[in-house]
Amino acid sequence: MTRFHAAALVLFGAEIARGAHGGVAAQAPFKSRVEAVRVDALVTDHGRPIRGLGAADFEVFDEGVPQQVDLVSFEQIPLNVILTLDMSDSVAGERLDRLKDAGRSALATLEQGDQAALVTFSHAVAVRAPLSSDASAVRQALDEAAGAGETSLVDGVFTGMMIGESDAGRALQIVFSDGLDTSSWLTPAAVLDAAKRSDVVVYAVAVKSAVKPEFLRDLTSFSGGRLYELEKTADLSATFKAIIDEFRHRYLVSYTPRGVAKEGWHRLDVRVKRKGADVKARPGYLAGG
Amino acid sequence: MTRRGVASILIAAVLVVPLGGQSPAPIDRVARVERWLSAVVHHRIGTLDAAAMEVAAWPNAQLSVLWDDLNALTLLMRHPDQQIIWVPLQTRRPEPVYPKPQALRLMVLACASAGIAETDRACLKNDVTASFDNDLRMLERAAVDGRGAGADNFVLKYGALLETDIALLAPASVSSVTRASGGGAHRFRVELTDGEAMNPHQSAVHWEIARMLLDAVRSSRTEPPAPARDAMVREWYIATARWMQFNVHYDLTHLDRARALFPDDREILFLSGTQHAIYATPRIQHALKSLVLPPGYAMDAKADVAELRQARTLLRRAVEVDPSFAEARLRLGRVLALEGQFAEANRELTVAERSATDETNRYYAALFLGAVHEATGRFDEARAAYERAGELFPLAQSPLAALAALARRRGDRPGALRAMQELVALPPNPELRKDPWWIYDIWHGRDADDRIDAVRRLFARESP
Repeated sequence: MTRFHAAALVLFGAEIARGAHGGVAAQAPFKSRVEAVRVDALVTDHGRPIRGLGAADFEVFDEGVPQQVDLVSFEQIPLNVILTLDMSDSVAGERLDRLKDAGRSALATLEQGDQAALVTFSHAVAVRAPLSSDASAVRQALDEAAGAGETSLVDGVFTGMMIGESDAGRALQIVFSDGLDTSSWLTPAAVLDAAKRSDVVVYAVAVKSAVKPEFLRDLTSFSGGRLYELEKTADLSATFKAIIDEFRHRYLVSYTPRGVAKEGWHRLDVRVKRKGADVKARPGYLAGG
Repeated sequence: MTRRGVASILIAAVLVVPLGGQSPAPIDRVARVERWLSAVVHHRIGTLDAAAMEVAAWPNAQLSVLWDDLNALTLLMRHPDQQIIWVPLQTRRPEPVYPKPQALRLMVLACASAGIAETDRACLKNDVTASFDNDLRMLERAAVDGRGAGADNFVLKYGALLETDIALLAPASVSSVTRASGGGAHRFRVELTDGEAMNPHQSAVHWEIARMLLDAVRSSRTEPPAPARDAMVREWYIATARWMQFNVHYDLTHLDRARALFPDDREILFLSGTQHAIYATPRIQHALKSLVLPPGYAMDAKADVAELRQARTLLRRAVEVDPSFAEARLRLGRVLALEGQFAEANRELTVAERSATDETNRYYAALFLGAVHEATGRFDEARAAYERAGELFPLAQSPLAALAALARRRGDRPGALRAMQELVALPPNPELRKDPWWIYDIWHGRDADDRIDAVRRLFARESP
């Protein structure tokens, strides 16, 4: 049974490799932080971002209960950009080149204080570069990344989301996939549940196909992000840049929940007291265990 | 460890066709049967030799017609004096399939194939041996001898093994999909790559020919076909079904026939159940949604709910037949969990984890038990089960992802990050990773090649 024997040999090699990676775990830069409700909100007027709003311009309703907005920030908060990229069988050749170009374009837009990380997924999820302000290190990891195999989109998204949560910064996860999940252990429901508890905003880019990317649609909706469905990957670089540009024009609204239950699903409604203002934010969050 | 060594999946389709249509001229058909019989005589089992290559090179349309002609041959082997007729849809009047000279030649071939040239009254009356060439004389001697096949089963079993070797060893022969018409056997296949269906095509009917031949196996010359009483036929179905699932060539028709013959066989029930469970997986279900079939064809994979139900029924029967069948309990437990029947899933998976004899099956049982506990709110038990899975395969990402998601769900962000830290530390190169979850759909077929070899060894021989 040639294939299985081949797999067994690979497994033997894996045990050796694990020893070689023994030091990596100790260096992984995870920090825990205090839970707070933060809402990323895009405020536009006929598609154009509205600038210069302050806390007094916002109204936040948590389960219909008006909340005291503590802080509103715009642009000046550094970003944590987590690139979560599909490197399964279907992403090869020109498509892979374009994806890497798009990743490089996104990294090129990073500013002082911003951080980036790179997660790739085929059937295996790999954290190629942890969150770092050294964009060149992330770029190098992107250059070297390659993959083949099936698609663990759901596992990959969860990993990227957790990396976003590992740092107190304002997290944007950009997901690219040209296919549907075929090999994740985690279920879409489990990761959507995690997304409802997270303040990581997910923007996803999918390639149009006969099957609708329902998971990415739900994920971006729950996180207050956006789903782009492209006809062709030639537009990838422009799309990635547009995502970061749009994210930079979002307000970060924070508040301490009052008068609402500590656990369960909280319906959120973010409004701006200005005529014609359109607000895009996550529809709610899940609190507690 | 890659999830699968090949990137594509093949699914056989059920073909819904009326009889009729064009076929090669009769003289070509009988001559082709004679060439095929020569190949059976000369083929060395377990190899892709010249004899096998010759048959493998025949166009799919001609193999489809060969299925008809070999079917006629198997009938004549039992009753050489019978006439093979068919009823065209247009006229509904019976007509002979073969003109008289070709019908006579086919009878000669049948007499040689059955080893009855010098004993059967019709064969003697027509003095069939007078027209035997060297290959037919060798064939007749082999058929009389049986060569381990018994009765007049030489051509049936050795022919089936020739077709099996071609299906296993020869490059796939594909042709474009034609309109769903024409007699004979047809096989429509579609490749599924990375969750998408593509490249629908017609492929050679070697498995169909093998099954048809084995359907005619009998235990003595005087009895009607009884393949269900033949140990080799059973072993052949088990070995080939395992091979198909291990190599991701799915064919439900194959298993349906196996189950019709051996309805209470634990392994055939098990393999049938696993096939339906595989059809319920997202990679198959996603691909089905993107598949556009030509008119007249229907896929043999249904919606996931129906596939899980069928899988549960079959796996449960396998466990009833053999309550000590731990791997069947494991697969049944997983299916039950996917159906939301957590109490029974818990029972089956607990037994499976306790009685599994290898680490991989224990890993699966622990991982699946974790999911069952998590679904029923027993979070501490879930964590313990995921940790057991992780201890068995420390480089597997699935238990770590499960632990992180579980902690996140419980509001334990530090716990989630700790599990994620271990995942981050895994080597990025998938080839250096080791997660049995990726090969769950093929793991149960791991001994397929050994089983195929065992069947071949029953008939291994030098060419006559």
